[in-house]
Amino acid sequence: MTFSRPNPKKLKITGISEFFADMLRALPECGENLCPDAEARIFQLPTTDPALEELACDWRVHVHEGLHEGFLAARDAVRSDLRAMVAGDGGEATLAIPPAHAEAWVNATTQARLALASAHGFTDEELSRPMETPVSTPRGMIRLQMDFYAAIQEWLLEALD
Amino acid sequence: MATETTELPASETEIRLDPPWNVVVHNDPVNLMSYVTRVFRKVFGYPKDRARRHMLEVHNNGRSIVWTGVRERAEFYVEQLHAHLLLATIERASE
Repeated sequence: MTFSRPNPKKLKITGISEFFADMLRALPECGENLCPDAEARIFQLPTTDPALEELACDWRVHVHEGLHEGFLAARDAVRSDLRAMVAGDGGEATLAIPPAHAEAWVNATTQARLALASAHGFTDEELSRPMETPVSTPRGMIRLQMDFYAAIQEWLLEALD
Repeated sequence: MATETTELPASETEIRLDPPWNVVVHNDPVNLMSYVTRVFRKVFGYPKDRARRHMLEVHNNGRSIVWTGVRERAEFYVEQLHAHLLLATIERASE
């Protein structure tokens, strides 16, 4: 698999195997139907101070709605790019990300990584170490998925810099 | 045009300034260091060095006060940070 930017108007991932193509297609869904822990992490409150309870209430009403819309828009942009992902004769796919969608991809990969980490209870310590769990285990597979999305994000951040 | 000047009675006025508020970003193990730095640059307009310094403070100390000022502005910044999925809170600067 190759991440490239042949010119400023093109961000491309080529040579995507079916395995990683499926992982890419799963990306937008990760930010949906969140478990309570992921919901609390992604839709946070600005304070835990009981004296600022009014602010927390206002936040739930006014800010969270805007965040829902923003996160959904990012996932929709990613979905539209994924629909255009094409597989070549050898079965390997190519994904083109319009530079105008790069921010949306960064946001959607962040949503997905946070949701996966919360849903599967990854600890700080576990995530600060390189992947140790075998990919053959469900937990190892989730960690691979998180690391794959992180690699895409790093590449996009470099392109945006 | 004639103008009149009215002299107001002397009075004592107490002006209470709203105390400053901190925007605090907390460490989380998921967000990438490069991403956190970029968000600080984008949201606050910080130069790369300052953004990176705050990111390292978050990473090493668990939190960093990234901005201090009036409450309304602090709330605006926290909302922006939440939109970028950074773990962020607001607190009174005296805390």
